[in-house]
Amino acid sequence: MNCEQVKPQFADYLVRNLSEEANIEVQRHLTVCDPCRNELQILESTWTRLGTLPEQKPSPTMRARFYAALEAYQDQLQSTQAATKRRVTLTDWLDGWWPKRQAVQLATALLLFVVGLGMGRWLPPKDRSTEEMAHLRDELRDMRQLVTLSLLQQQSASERLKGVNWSYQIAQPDDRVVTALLETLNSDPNVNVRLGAVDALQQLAGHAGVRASLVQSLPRQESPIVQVALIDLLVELKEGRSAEVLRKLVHDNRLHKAVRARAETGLKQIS
Amino acid sequence: MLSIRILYTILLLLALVPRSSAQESSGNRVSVPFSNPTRPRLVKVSVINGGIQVKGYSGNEVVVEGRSEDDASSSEPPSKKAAGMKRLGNSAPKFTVEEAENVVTVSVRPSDRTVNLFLQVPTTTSLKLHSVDGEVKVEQVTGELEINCVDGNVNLANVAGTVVAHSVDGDITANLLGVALDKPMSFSSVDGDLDVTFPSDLKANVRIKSDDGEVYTDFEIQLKPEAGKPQVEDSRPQGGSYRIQVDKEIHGAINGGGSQIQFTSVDGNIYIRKAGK
Repeated sequence: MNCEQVKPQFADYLVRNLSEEANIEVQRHLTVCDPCRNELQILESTWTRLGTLPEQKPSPTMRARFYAALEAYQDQLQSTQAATKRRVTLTDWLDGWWPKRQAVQLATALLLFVVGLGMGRWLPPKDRSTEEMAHLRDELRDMRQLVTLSLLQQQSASERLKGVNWSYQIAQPDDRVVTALLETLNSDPNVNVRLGAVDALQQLAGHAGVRASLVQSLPRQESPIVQVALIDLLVELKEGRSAEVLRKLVHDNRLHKAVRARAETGLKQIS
Repeated sequence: MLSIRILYTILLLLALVPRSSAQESSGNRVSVPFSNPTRPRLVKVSVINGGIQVKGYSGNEVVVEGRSEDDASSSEPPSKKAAGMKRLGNSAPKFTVEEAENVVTVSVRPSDRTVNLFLQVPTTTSLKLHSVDGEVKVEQVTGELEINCVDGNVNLANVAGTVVAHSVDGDITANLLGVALDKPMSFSSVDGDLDVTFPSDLKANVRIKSDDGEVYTDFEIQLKPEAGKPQVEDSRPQGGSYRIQVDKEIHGAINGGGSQIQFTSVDGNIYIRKAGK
């Protein structure tokens, strides 16, 4: 027997599953082949150490995490497939990862098993998976908020627009995001980004203080298109406090005619 | 961090220019290298009174040329005493070109004279252009293009990347050969038309808003349900166009969705065209 023939037998050898003759053949090879003996020793020590581990049952948390991870993985897989249009099936993909040598296959399987057990021990057990899901949702929300906040600070107008668009994905944005969007509306150097902020703030009109801030923002705006968008929004919200500001706009000769016309019709609609 | 700062200041106070040579008589040219040609490049230009023209070329430097429209109406007529003499002085445009950390900034000193700037930039360069009175033209440049105009038209020919453009009263015409993935774009105008041509395989989520204008497109737009009740008028079989009419705003996806593109106009029309027709 040579090394290639012996190695596949290691697993069976360790659990004493080989026939008498095969067992002798393996032993004979081991006496003459140092590399195989080393490999077997490593496997054997892993095997014995595995035996000393207490049996673990996956907690409900593990289950929730597993399905969440699986879902995220599937989403990611779908999106990458769509993006690159590569026709790789799941099985092909997995096949590519599967080691061709049996000893490596076994070692991989054992390694994954050990890692899995280790994770099971290491992860803090929790009773209810719903709690965990809520926690995950919070984390996701925090992450999206951070993304939004950091994008709104970027140099490029397109990146800041991306930040404005991200804010739509936050379920219930906190004050930081609302403040950042108001800041964008009032002082972003780019007209189109300010315009985008008007739309984003429309979604947050229920948030405390947003309506008042929108009213205050209108006289500070210099770009006609942002002024028009803000007037439209305030009229749609039927914001009574904006009447005074609108009246001033109607009589401001320096303003663009479209803005004055819009303020005039808006004034009629809210009063 | 200390960075190498190059300051090119053009001050041509003693340019001798014969009055007879009419418009755009005096030209100045300056070229500026980027401090790190392998890093992303940005060129910022700001003009109050005049236009900006930017063209991509195969070189690595930014070439800026300023021409003043030196017509008789803009300055006081030469007095009889000056007959037969040349005028000494500032008929040449004054502009400053500055480079720091791969950002080239071109600015024109405010004056009553119209100064048109002509730039050549490496084909892959981001631009930030601002003009009040003049027209902005960009040709063959790939990058993030940020354009802001008040009275002038914006014309972007054979560009690629991302466009964020606004003009208060001017039209915006753009022909995009390629679109950067996952980067939002926005086109907006109060009185002007928006006329944008995209590659036919464009993947985008569009938000279109035109208050008093019309929206036309030859793209197939899958409308989102929340878009209200738009009237779709498809006269393409008769050789016409695909027309969508809505009260407020259209949300929809082109080719399954992708980058966010926003079109906003108050009084102008919006044309979203498919390339190759």
